[in-house]
Amino acid sequence: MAIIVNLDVMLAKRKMKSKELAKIIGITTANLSILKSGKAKAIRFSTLESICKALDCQPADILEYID
Amino acid sequence: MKRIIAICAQAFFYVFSICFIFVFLFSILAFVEKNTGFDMPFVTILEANANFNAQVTIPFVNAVFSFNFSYTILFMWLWLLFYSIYFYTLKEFFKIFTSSDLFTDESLRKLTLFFRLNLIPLVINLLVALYISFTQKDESSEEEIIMIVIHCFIGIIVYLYVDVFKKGIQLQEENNLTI
Repeated sequence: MAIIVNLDVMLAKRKMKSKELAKIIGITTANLSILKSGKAKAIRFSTLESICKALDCQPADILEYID
Repeated sequence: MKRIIAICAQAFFYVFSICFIFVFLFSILAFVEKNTGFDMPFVTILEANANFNAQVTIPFVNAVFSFNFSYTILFMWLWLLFYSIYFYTLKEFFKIFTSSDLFTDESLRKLTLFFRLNLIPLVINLLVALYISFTQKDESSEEEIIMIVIHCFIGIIVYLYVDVFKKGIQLQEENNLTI
Protein backbone atom coordinates (compact mmCIF):
# COMPACT_ATOMS: atom_id res chain seq x y z
CA MET A 1 0.00 0.00 0.00
CA ALA A 2 1.25 3.57 -0.74
CA ILE A 3 0.34 4.96 2.70
CA ILE A 4 2.70 3.85 5.48
CA VAL A 5 1.68 4.04 9.14
CA ASN A 6 4.71 4.98 11.27
CA LEU A 7 3.08 4.19 14.59
CA ASP A 8 6.04 2.15 15.92
CA VAL A 9 8.35 5.16 15.49
CA MET A 10 6.03 7.46 17.46
CA LEU A 11 5.42 4.83 20.15
CA ALA A 12 9.20 4.45 20.60
CA LYS A 13 9.65 8.25 20.77
CA ARG A 14 6.92 8.57 23.39
CA LYS A 15 8.10 5.41 25.19
CA MET A 16 4.62 3.96 25.05
CA LYS A 17 3.54 0.35 24.49
CA SER A 18 0.97 -0.67 21.85
CA LYS A 19 -1.30 -2.11 24.53
CA GLU A 20 -1.28 1.19 26.38
CA LEU A 21 -2.07 3.20 23.24
CA ALA A 22 -4.90 0.80 22.29
CA LYS A 23 -6.45 1.25 25.73
CA ILE A 24 -6.17 5.06 25.59
CA ILE A 25 -7.70 5.43 22.14
CA GLY A 26 -10.35 2.75 22.77
CA ILE A 27 -9.57 0.15 20.14
CA THR A 28 -8.48 -3.47 20.51
CA THR A 29 -4.78 -4.47 20.30
CA ALA A 30 -5.74 -6.60 17.29
CA ASN A 31 -7.06 -3.54 15.43
CA LEU A 32 -3.99 -1.52 16.41
CA SER A 33 -1.85 -4.35 15.10
CA ILE A 34 -3.78 -4.26 11.79
CA LEU A 35 -3.10 -0.52 11.59
CA LYS A 36 0.62 -0.90 12.36
CA SER A 37 1.12 -3.73 9.87
CA GLY A 38 -0.41 -1.78 6.99
CA LYS A 39 -3.32 -4.20 6.51
CA ALA A 40 -5.93 -1.55 7.34
CA LYS A 41 -7.97 -0.30 4.37
CA ALA A 42 -9.01 2.98 6.01
CA ILE A 43 -8.76 4.98 9.21
CA ARG A 44 -11.51 7.07 10.74
CA PHE A 45 -10.78 10.72 11.53
CA SER A 46 -11.92 10.08 15.10
CA THR A 47 -9.30 7.32 15.49
CA LEU A 48 -6.58 9.50 13.93
CA GLU A 49 -7.55 12.33 16.28
CA SER A 50 -7.35 10.00 19.30
CA ILE A 51 -3.91 8.71 18.23
CA CYS A 52 -2.54 12.22 17.67
CA LYS A 53 -3.91 13.32 21.05
CA ALA A 54 -2.44 10.28 22.85
CA LEU A 55 0.98 10.59 21.18
CA ASP A 56 1.00 14.40 21.09
CA CYS A 57 1.86 14.52 17.40
CA GLN A 58 0.56 15.52 13.98
CA PRO A 59 -1.06 13.19 11.42
CA ALA A 60 2.00 13.66 9.19
CA ASP A 61 4.13 12.13 11.96
CA ILE A 62 2.10 8.93 11.71
CA LEU A 63 1.09 8.76 8.04
CA GLU A 64 3.58 8.79 5.18
CA TYR A 65 2.97 8.56 1.44
CA ILE A 66 5.46 6.55 -0.62
CA ASP A 67 5.29 6.65 -4.42
CA MET B 1 -40.94 -14.65 10.59
CA LYS B 2 -37.52 -15.71 9.28
CA ARG B 3 -37.30 -18.39 11.96
CA ILE B 4 -40.76 -19.71 11.03
CA ILE B 5 -39.73 -20.01 7.37
CA ALA B 6 -36.51 -21.79 8.39
CA ILE B 7 -38.57 -24.20 10.56
CA CYS B 8 -40.94 -24.88 7.60
CA ALA B 9 -37.96 -25.71 5.38
CA GLN B 10 -36.62 -27.97 8.14
CA ALA B 11 -40.02 -29.70 8.35
CA PHE B 12 -39.96 -30.38 4.58
CA PHE B 13 -36.43 -31.76 4.95
CA TYR B 14 -37.56 -34.17 7.70
CA VAL B 15 -40.65 -35.27 5.69
CA PHE B 16 -38.61 -36.03 2.57
CA SER B 17 -35.84 -37.71 4.57
CA ILE B 18 -38.32 -39.93 6.43
CA CYS B 19 -40.08 -40.83 3.15
CA PHE B 20 -36.72 -41.65 1.56
CA ILE B 21 -35.61 -43.82 4.49
CA PHE B 22 -39.02 -45.57 4.58
CA VAL B 23 -39.12 -46.30 0.82
CA PHE B 24 -35.44 -47.26 0.68
CA LEU B 25 -35.55 -49.55 3.70
CA PHE B 26 -38.74 -51.40 2.80
CA SER B 27 -37.88 -51.72 -0.89
CA ILE B 28 -34.55 -53.31 0.13
CA LEU B 29 -36.36 -55.66 2.56
CA ALA B 30 -38.87 -56.61 -0.18
CA PHE B 31 -36.04 -57.16 -2.69
CA VAL B 32 -34.15 -59.37 -0.21
CA GLU B 33 -37.31 -61.36 0.63
CA LYS B 34 -38.10 -61.92 -3.05
CA ASN B 35 -34.59 -63.01 -3.98
CA THR B 36 -33.49 -64.97 -0.92
CA GLY B 37 -36.81 -66.32 0.30
CA PHE B 38 -36.11 -65.16 3.88
CA ASP B 39 -39.20 -63.86 5.65
CA MET B 40 -38.48 -60.16 6.22
CA PRO B 41 -40.37 -58.30 8.98
CA PHE B 42 -43.32 -56.10 7.96
CA VAL B 43 -43.04 -57.12 4.26
CA THR B 44 -45.31 -59.51 2.31
CA ILE B 45 -44.66 -60.43 -1.33
CA LEU B 46 -47.98 -60.52 -3.18
CA GLU B 47 -46.91 -61.64 -6.65
CA ALA B 48 -43.63 -63.17 -7.71
CA ASN B 49 -43.10 -61.90 -11.24
CA ALA B 50 -40.68 -59.59 -13.03
CA ASN B 51 -42.36 -56.49 -11.58
CA PHE B 52 -43.28 -57.85 -8.19
CA ASN B 53 -45.73 -56.29 -5.75
CA ALA B 54 -44.96 -56.04 -2.07
CA GLN B 55 -47.16 -55.09 0.82
CA VAL B 56 -45.66 -53.27 3.80
CA THR B 57 -47.42 -53.39 7.16
CA ILE B 58 -46.51 -50.68 9.68
CA PRO B 59 -46.94 -51.95 13.24
CA PHE B 60 -48.66 -49.97 16.01
CA VAL B 61 -50.51 -47.75 13.51
CA ASN B 62 -51.86 -50.76 11.51
CA ALA B 63 -51.23 -49.01 8.19
CA VAL B 64 -50.71 -51.08 5.04
CA PHE B 65 -48.92 -49.78 1.91
CA SER B 66 -48.66 -51.60 -1.38
CA PHE B 67 -45.61 -51.06 -3.61
CA ASN B 68 -45.28 -52.05 -7.20
CA PHE B 69 -41.54 -52.64 -7.42
CA SER B 70 -39.65 -52.32 -10.65
CA TYR B 71 -36.47 -50.52 -11.66
CA THR B 72 -38.42 -47.24 -11.47
CA ILE B 73 -37.94 -47.54 -7.68
CA LEU B 74 -34.39 -46.36 -8.33
CA PHE B 75 -35.73 -43.08 -9.77
CA MET B 76 -37.95 -42.73 -6.72
CA TRP B 77 -34.95 -43.22 -4.41
CA LEU B 78 -32.94 -40.61 -6.34
CA TRP B 79 -35.87 -38.18 -6.42
CA LEU B 80 -36.52 -38.50 -2.66
CA LEU B 81 -32.80 -38.33 -1.85
CA PHE B 82 -32.31 -35.26 -4.06
CA TYR B 83 -35.22 -33.38 -2.49
CA SER B 84 -34.05 -34.35 1.04
CA ILE B 85 -30.71 -32.71 0.22
CA TYR B 86 -32.52 -29.82 -1.52
CA PHE B 87 -34.67 -29.02 1.51
CA TYR B 88 -31.67 -29.41 3.80
CA THR B 89 -29.79 -26.72 1.81
CA LEU B 90 -33.00 -24.64 1.74
CA LYS B 91 -33.12 -24.85 5.54
CA GLU B 92 -29.45 -23.78 5.69
CA PHE B 93 -30.27 -20.95 3.21
CA PHE B 94 -32.99 -19.58 5.51
CA LYS B 95 -30.80 -20.09 8.60
CA ILE B 96 -28.30 -17.61 7.12
CA PHE B 97 -30.84 -14.81 7.56
CA THR B 98 -31.39 -15.64 11.25
CA SER B 99 -27.67 -15.57 12.15
CA SER B 100 -25.94 -12.45 13.53
CA ASP B 101 -23.11 -12.51 10.94
CA LEU B 102 -24.75 -12.30 7.56
CA PHE B 103 -21.95 -11.67 5.10
CA THR B 104 -19.52 -14.54 5.64
CA ASP B 105 -17.76 -16.95 3.27
CA GLU B 106 -19.75 -19.82 4.83
CA SER B 107 -23.05 -18.08 3.92
CA LEU B 108 -21.85 -17.50 0.36
CA ARG B 109 -20.87 -21.18 0.04
CA LYS B 110 -24.35 -22.30 1.21
CA LEU B 111 -26.06 -19.89 -1.21
CA THR B 112 -23.91 -21.04 -4.13
CA LEU B 113 -24.66 -24.70 -3.31
CA PHE B 114 -28.41 -24.01 -3.18
CA PHE B 115 -28.19 -22.16 -6.52
CA ARG B 116 -26.40 -25.13 -8.14
CA LEU B 117 -28.94 -27.59 -6.69
CA ASN B 118 -31.71 -25.65 -8.45
CA LEU B 119 -30.00 -26.19 -11.80
CA ILE B 120 -30.16 -30.00 -11.55
CA PRO B 121 -33.99 -30.43 -11.63
CA LEU B 122 -34.17 -27.58 -14.13
CA VAL B 123 -31.95 -29.43 -16.62
CA ILE B 124 -33.52 -32.85 -15.96
CA ASN B 125 -37.10 -31.59 -16.35
CA LEU B 126 -36.13 -29.68 -19.49
CA LEU B 127 -34.68 -32.84 -21.05
CA VAL B 128 -37.73 -34.89 -20.01
CA ALA B 129 -40.13 -32.22 -21.38
CA LEU B 130 -38.23 -32.13 -24.70
CA TYR B 131 -38.22 -35.94 -24.88
CA ILE B 132 -41.97 -36.11 -24.22
CA SER B 133 -42.79 -33.35 -26.71
CA PHE B 134 -40.73 -34.99 -29.51
CA THR B 135 -41.47 -38.67 -28.92
CA GLN B 136 -44.87 -38.88 -27.21
CA LYS B 137 -47.18 -36.48 -29.03
CA ASP B 138 -50.26 -37.55 -27.02
CA GLU B 139 -48.63 -36.96 -23.62
CA SER B 140 -48.45 -33.49 -22.06
CA SER B 141 -45.38 -32.28 -20.17
CA GLU B 142 -47.27 -29.88 -17.90
CA GLU B 143 -45.72 -31.19 -14.67
CA GLU B 144 -42.21 -30.85 -16.09
CA ILE B 145 -42.92 -27.31 -17.32
CA ILE B 146 -44.23 -26.32 -13.88
CA MET B 147 -41.06 -27.71 -12.23
CA ILE B 148 -38.89 -25.87 -14.79
CA VAL B 149 -40.65 -22.57 -14.07
CA ILE B 150 -40.45 -23.01 -10.28
CA HIS B 151 -36.76 -23.96 -10.23
CA CYS B 152 -35.90 -21.28 -12.81
CA PHE B 153 -37.59 -18.62 -10.69
CA ILE B 154 -35.92 -19.81 -7.47
CA GLY B 155 -32.56 -20.11 -9.27
CA ILE B 156 -32.73 -16.52 -10.54
CA ILE B 157 -33.63 -15.15 -7.09
CA VAL B 158 -30.82 -17.11 -5.41
CA TYR B 159 -28.35 -16.01 -8.12
CA LEU B 160 -29.19 -12.38 -7.32
CA TYR B 161 -28.67 -13.14 -3.60
CA VAL B 162 -25.26 -14.68 -4.38
CA ASP B 163 -24.28 -11.50 -6.25
CA VAL B 164 -25.47 -9.25 -3.40
CA PHE B 165 -23.67 -11.41 -0.83
CA LYS B 166 -20.38 -11.22 -2.79
CA LYS B 167 -20.59 -7.40 -2.72
CA GLY B 168 -21.69 -7.51 0.94
CA ILE B 169 -18.69 -9.63 1.94
CA GLN B 170 -16.40 -7.15 0.17
CA LEU B 171 -17.98 -4.22 2.03
CA GLN B 172 -17.89 -6.17 5.33
CA GLU B 173 -14.17 -6.86 4.87
CA GLU B 174 -13.52 -3.19 4.11
CA ASN B 175 -15.51 -2.18 7.16
CA ASN B 176 -13.64 -4.68 9.36
CA LEU B 177 -10.33 -3.23 8.15
CA THR B 178 -11.42 0.36 8.81
CA ILE B 179 -9.90 1.29 12.16
